[in-house]
Amino acid sequence: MSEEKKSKKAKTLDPAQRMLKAMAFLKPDRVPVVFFPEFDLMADFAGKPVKKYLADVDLQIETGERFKERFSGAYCAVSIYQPYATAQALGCPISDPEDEIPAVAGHVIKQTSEVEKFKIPESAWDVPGTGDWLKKIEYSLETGIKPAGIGEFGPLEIAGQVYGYDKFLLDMRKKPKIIHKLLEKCTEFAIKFLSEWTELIGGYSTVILIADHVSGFLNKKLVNEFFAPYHKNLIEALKPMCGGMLYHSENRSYHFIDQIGDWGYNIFHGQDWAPKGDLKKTKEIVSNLDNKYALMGQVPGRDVVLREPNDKVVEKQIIENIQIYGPGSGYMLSTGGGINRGTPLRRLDMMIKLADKYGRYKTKNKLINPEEE
Amino acid sequence: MREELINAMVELEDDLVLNLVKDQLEKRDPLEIFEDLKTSLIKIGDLFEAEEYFLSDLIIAADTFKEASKLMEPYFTKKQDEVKGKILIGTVEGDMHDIGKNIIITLLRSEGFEVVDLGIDVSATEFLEAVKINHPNIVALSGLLTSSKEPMKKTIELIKKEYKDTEKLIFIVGGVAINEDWIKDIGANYGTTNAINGLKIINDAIKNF
Repeated sequence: MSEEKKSKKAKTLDPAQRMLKAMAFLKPDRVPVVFFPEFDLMADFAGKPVKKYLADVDLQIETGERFKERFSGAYCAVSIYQPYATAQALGCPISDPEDEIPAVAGHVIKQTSEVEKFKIPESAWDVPGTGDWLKKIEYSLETGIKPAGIGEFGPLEIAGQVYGYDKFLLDMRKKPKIIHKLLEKCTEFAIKFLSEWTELIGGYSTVILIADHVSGFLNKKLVNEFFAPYHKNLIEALKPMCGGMLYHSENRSYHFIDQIGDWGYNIFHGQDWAPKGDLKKTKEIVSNLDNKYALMGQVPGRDVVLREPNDKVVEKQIIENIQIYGPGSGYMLSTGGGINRGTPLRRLDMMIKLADKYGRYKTKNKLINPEEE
Repeated sequence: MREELINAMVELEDDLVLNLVKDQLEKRDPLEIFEDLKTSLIKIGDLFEAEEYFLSDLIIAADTFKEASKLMEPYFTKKQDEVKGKILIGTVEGDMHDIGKNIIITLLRSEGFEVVDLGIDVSATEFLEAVKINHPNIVALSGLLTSSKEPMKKTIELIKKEYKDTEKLIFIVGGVAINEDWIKDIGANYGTTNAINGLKIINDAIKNF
């Protein structure tokens, strides 16, 4: 079949199929666009304060469907939310603001000596946070809506939440054995929770997302000692239940960009992956890896898509990302982090429109240049 | 001798730094040792900006600096008993993050500033009340989240409106998301994305005030 015919045939892809093709380094019709809207943006989209939005599962389902319809050219990772579910399940208090994203309001482990006795729940269903979330998902399934994907914080992020981030980072140096013990427990609970969630939706998820920004706080030596082994364990347990493992971090990540595939991840979603801002360098490094993984990002959601006053500047960055990362497939255009409250929705339309214009594939390794058409 | 200490600190060899400080306190002017440690911190901050060091490195550096300062304390009570300035600090309302705040508190206290720590999730009113009671030279507002911008703005506006000596106050904001526009938009005097740079800014601001 000629390339032209193949390209025409591929135009029937929906956003999820497009994403799966890119993840597998096959040729989609065009660069996929993936959106991760934050809870507060979704609450605004629903016209309700965040607290009311989070408490109302029906509203979340209805708003999620409307959001997907509004941005039908993108894969919208809208779900039923339960903020900091794992931290809550492990005993952390969670703040309860009226119209902001809640946050972890205190740590569970006050003394290092408490780590040894720190018990994780037998089941994620039995405790607040994760239990509440699973019940919401169960309810959503009863209404016939399967929420997009599965995802939660990774072991180091959970450990930081229960132990206190600064103490956690300092004790990697001062008390490494204690930190390893804590990480074993956090990993075990993360696996338990995500496995139970996967079972709830039928034993298989297209993608399982793990968000763990702590890697960006660590130098390479600490990444290898404290991050890599626990993420590898997590992936080993969860990979048989999904089509792909997605790692998310908005933090610095250029120092381990060559390792993400070795850990077992299939996709990396980030926004600070280019050493000294050199986007092409990252493409070069990732393209030459033995254990390849797909990239998803790296248009800065906060500093560019939300804050940049000039549409032309935003447009330029989006095109630059498409043209650098698109060739060879294995790329999904996305804001590197969640899409923040206040982000002009026209800029999300702009991302889809620019992917349509500049991101169409001629062959797997080449994009069609619209200026030459 | 000086180079050995600076290198050990920049290389984050915490045990070695403390041993060198103990040893050198018998042989050198403690203020000179203190200056060397500060020089090291500036180098560490530069390495962070250059993407070679990471937050965990800054935490180790701050902790080592704190421990070294403890060793030097008995010498300083004779030579440096003047408080350099009073700083009121807190993480703004809606934000529970305290890593950056805690690092800079350690550095500021080690360097002779009096610090009043209001903790996390501090409302604008709580900041104002604390300013009225403590009469600081500097109000430092910390926040990791992008949503911290509004509470920072609200806090600065309230203090500027309600506190009679507001011309004598310096406002500094800290957090990874902060940039020049952010500082300007909320009416702060200075801003920083990392604690070590924050220490330098505060030192300069106090000198020039």
